[in-house]
Amino acid sequence: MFDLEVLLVAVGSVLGVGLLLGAGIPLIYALGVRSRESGRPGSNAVSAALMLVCVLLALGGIVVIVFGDAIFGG
Amino acid sequence: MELAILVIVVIVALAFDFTNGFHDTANAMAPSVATGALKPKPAVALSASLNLVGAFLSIEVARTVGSGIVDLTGVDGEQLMLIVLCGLTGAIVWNVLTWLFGLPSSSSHALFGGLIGATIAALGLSGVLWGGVSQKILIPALFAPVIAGFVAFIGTWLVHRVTRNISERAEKRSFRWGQIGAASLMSLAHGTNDAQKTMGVIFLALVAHGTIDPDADMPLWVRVTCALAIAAGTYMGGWRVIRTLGKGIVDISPRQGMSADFSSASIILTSSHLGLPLSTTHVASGSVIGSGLARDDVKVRWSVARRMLIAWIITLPAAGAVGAACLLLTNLFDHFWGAVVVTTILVVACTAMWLRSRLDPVGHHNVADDWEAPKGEHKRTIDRELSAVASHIAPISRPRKRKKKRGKNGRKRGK
Repeated sequence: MFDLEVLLVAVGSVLGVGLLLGAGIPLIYALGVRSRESGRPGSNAVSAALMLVCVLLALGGIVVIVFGDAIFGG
Repeated sequence: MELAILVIVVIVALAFDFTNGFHDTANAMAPSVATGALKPKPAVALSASLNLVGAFLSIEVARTVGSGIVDLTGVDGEQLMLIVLCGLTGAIVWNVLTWLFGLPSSSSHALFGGLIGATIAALGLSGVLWGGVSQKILIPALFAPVIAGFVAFIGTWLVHRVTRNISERAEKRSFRWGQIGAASLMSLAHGTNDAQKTMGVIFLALVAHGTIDPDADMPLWVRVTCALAIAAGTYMGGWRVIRTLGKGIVDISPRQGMSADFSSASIILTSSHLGLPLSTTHVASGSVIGSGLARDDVKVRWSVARRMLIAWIITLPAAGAVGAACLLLTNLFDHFWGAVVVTTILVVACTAMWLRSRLDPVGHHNVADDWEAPKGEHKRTIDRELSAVASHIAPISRPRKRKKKRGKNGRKRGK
């Protein structure tokens, strides 16, 4: 009943995706905030692009996680 | 009579779903409410709506509830429904009790604990699949808060490094939307994970009754009612738990709140996809502590965290004990009356705890107040109380000031 391999894969996946999205999205968002606050020319556009990346990553994460099996045939 | 027991089980399962939403609103919204990114009422309304949506997105977790944890093969339909009912009763009692104390404990562990306790009382220790309990409950309970804390720590540290030069005003303004987005994602994740657990339990009861086949799809009415129950519970807002998670463990900043929520949401969504029934409470609490540890200037209140940890450790045995006691009680009656008695006890216990909570109300009006009253205010409160007690002997309208002792030459003594 106890399957260590399955458990380790699950833990690894949770940690990997957690770091990628859970720490990655806040980092990109923070870069966007810093860019906007810097007041340099074009910084607003860079900031908007980074915020958009955050939104797309969050939506992409939901789509892959919720509909991943249907899309990739998992 | 079998149909009557099924109806009772379904109603109690929906009540558990309600308490689950009620208890776990904090997991998604505590950081946003604590930092003022969202007002308390709109926060719970947003969370309730997204829990409702999330409940329809995935049923992976629903398939795993019960399976691999207890072995109920060979148990007759009515007995199986009673085991489920007693398990739910243990879980609800524990949920409401921990809410009364403002402790963010795991509704999932309460549910599993209740089911395990009721199964042991009915079938003995052999009815529990201990390998499955370790793999699906105990080990995830250990790693979930640690991983969440680690991810939130990394996220918060990176965000602080990148934005260390921006002003506090800019931080509040800029991270507000990030925090709302992260909290929304977290609410959605909660819906995909926690509403499924009750769906799984109702499915188990329907199979026991013989209404549906074990291989059948989840009935739509089960999905709709569970989604509505968890959303209604979330909208009620478990303010006591929100207060502990948002203000009690650490004084959270908008940057920390955003990092903690993104960490929790990504971990819960991944675990929902893998069908791993992680406790959203463990993940959210781990994230809040991890984000607190990432900053030197913020104090983590370990006394609160310790109380929470104790609650986590005893959740499984405590809910199990209530579940087992209820099942032993049902053995004194026939199945139908046993179900009625257990449900009546549940209603009475919950009403008593709710009435007790009215003595010290926590609501949307005071949920975001400072955790520790300022020292001056605290001193004034004690003085007022002492004056009230002493007024029977010698009325004191205001606290006396202690006179400074002076030496012979008029200077203060000592120095």
